[in-house]
Amino acid sequence: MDLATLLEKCKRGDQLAWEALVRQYQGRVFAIAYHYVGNTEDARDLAQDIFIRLYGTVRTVDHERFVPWLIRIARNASIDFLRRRNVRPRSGETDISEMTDLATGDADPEEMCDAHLRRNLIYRALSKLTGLNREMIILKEIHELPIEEIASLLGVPVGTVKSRSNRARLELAQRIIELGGLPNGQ
Amino acid sequence: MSSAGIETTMNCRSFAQRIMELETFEEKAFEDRELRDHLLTCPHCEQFMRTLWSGLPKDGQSELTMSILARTSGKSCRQAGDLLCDLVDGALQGEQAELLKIHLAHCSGCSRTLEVLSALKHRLPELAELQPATGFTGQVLASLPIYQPENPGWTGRLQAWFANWAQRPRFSLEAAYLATLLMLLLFGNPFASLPETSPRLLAGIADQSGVVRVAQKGYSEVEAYARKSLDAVEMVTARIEASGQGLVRLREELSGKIVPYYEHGKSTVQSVTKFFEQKSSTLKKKLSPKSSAR
Repeated sequence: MDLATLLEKCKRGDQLAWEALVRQYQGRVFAIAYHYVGNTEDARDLAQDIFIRLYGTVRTVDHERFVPWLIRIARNASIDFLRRRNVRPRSGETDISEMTDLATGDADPEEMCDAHLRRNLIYRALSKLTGLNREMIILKEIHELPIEEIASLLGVPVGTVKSRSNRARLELAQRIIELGGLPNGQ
Repeated sequence: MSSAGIETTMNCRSFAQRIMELETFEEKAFEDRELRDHLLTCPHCEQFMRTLWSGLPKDGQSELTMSILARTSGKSCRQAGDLLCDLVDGALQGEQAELLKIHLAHCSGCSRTLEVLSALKHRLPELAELQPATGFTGQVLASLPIYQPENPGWTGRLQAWFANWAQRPRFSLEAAYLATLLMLLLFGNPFASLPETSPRLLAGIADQSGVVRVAQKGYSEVEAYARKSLDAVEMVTARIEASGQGLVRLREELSGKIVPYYEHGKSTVQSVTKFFEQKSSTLKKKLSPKSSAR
């Protein structure tokens, strides 16, 4: 079912449609929360809070703007959470054992292991970036938000987003090289 | 210089000058007899040309480039780094791309960065979704209140918009900024001296007739209120007095009714008492010993 129909049904109070929406976007919301807070337990609680916020305001959103809107709410909630926890938006060192049920889609255990190692390495490198650079990677490269949307979200000019995002990618690449580079298959 | 009986008018300096004018240093380019003759007679220039023909070893070339760059423009890795992302995104074309590829062919650091950047371009979007542990959906659905669909109307939409807007993390900062701005506009800068205070305040002070008018108006309003209050007090007093007189009349009326009742009751009690006294004396007489003896 397409998003427009799903949202329309949600607005009319269709609980099955809401459940389908949660199932469709929970991975994305959980990922955003995880990228900000840096551990699965907090990310799960935070993702629940984000869905509760969404539930109250889903009537107001248009399907064409849904994904940027979802990311905006998830980001704001994550920052609020970090502020409440009195921690800067900086994910800690992530242990691969913490990552449960990653959506890899790889059946081969060796490939899955490689994928886990690769992700773990990227998370570790991400955690070493500065706050703004990390946000650039999360919003632009991971969640592929449009530049204008990121500029509005971060309150910076569009030109800054462009130049900053390239710098952030370079910094991430440097950190990955420092940590030994991506494992086989890159 | 001359040797082995070959006469030549060319010296090393003019030889080097002529060499620099050639398009190529290859041996076949040396068709000029003067050049050949000088080369045969001058071991120094011969050694020089042998070096040119054999070329520098690869490592030596790179080393040479680096030392030249170090003494001129510096390393170009920084500029290359700025362009690497564009190359990965396919946004770099033409001469700039060609120049970058030349640099990459000789710079292992930038090549490695390019490899990682290319890999990240595909790997980062994969991180957009992570599946939480099983049962997450159930927990979310269980923690929600019962859905009550309704048409929110424009007030509901406005409330939702405001709630959404106020949830932005920088809302409190912006609100504080606006409040400060408003205070400054209304009351001026509290740290400034009097001549620099708010123009509105100064204009109000300068307009004395206006101030007097405002004061008079305020005074007349206060007077009117005071008069109304006095009237109200008088009215209440009059009502209290009237109700007091009413109570006096009521007391007189009631006492006028109660006294006859009292008088009537008193006479009734007296006649009943008299009756019982008479009956009692009659009984006493009948029960006396004298009358019983009779």
